[in-house]
Amino acid sequence: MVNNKKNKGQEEIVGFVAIVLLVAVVALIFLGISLRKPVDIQKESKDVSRFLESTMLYTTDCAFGYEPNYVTPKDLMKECYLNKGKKCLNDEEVCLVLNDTLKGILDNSWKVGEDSAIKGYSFNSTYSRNSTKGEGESIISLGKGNCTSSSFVTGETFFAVYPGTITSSLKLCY
Amino acid sequence: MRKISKKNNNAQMKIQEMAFVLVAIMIFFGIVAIFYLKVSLSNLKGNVELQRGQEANELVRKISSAPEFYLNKECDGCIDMDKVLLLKERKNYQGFWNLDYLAVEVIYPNSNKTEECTRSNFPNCGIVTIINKTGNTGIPASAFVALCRQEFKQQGYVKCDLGKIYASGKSLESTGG
Repeated sequence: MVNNKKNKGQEEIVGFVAIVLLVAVVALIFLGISLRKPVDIQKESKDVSRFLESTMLYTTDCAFGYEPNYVTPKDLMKECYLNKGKKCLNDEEVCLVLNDTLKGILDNSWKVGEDSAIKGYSFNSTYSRNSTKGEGESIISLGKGNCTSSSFVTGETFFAVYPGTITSSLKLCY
Repeated sequence: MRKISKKNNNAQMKIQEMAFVLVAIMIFFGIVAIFYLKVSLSNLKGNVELQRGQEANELVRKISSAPEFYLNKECDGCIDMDKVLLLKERKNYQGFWNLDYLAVEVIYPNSNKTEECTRSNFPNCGIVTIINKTGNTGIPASAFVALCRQEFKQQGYVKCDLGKIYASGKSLESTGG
């Protein structure tokens, strides 16, 4: 009689432990989902690409040949790559004007800082003879703030400079 | 007889216990399912909002290529600022795009100019407000554009600055702006 009761009690305990285990497993899954790290944003942004396209249309203070033949950052990139030491009519170096212009545009367009949504940016312009990404000679690189996070948006624009292309890309880090 | 009745009672108790446990498990899984759905739906909602925001920005970009803003064939995405200034003075354009707010802001070179542009202070100003019906614009959809104007210095040339076009209104809200 006592043995029978003991068996019954053991069965009840096993059932209870099984339910507790089941609940614990589900609770763990539940906790895992809620504590999951926010998904990293890594995508191409049309807004950033539009920004780069519009930037390439900006009229700089650098003129080639005669005034008012003021050129765009596009022309400056091309000249900075092909003739590094070339100067504008006002005797400023093409690469320096390009650097200052792009820096001014980027700093005015994107509010970067620890208190901002955008923690940093990285701008690169490269010349490549074929369209393979990642290969090419760097023309200009600019950066500000912290751009090491895995959440970012990118955009790029390119134009032909025979026999290759100049690709400009901007990465905004969040 | 009494023994059979006792056995029946025991079996009923067991069935009752099992039923309660099953109901409890079902409720628990139900709560988990609701929570999971809530999390996944909130992610979906975020994605939809992002998509709608991008669509609204694209629409703003399309507005900038309307003949009223358009510079020329060679420059896609360029806004003719001389046209914009004239457009601001034309009151019959207030309802043309079904927008509550439409403005063009100079981003670079700007040096923190916030002054409203008029014929007398242009180009030494920061913003041209074409439509402002409600005063409360919320967060308008925006797009980067090149703002070009005819310069009359030297022999005359077209000078382009970097700017942004902003728009808000019901026609954009239907797509999410």
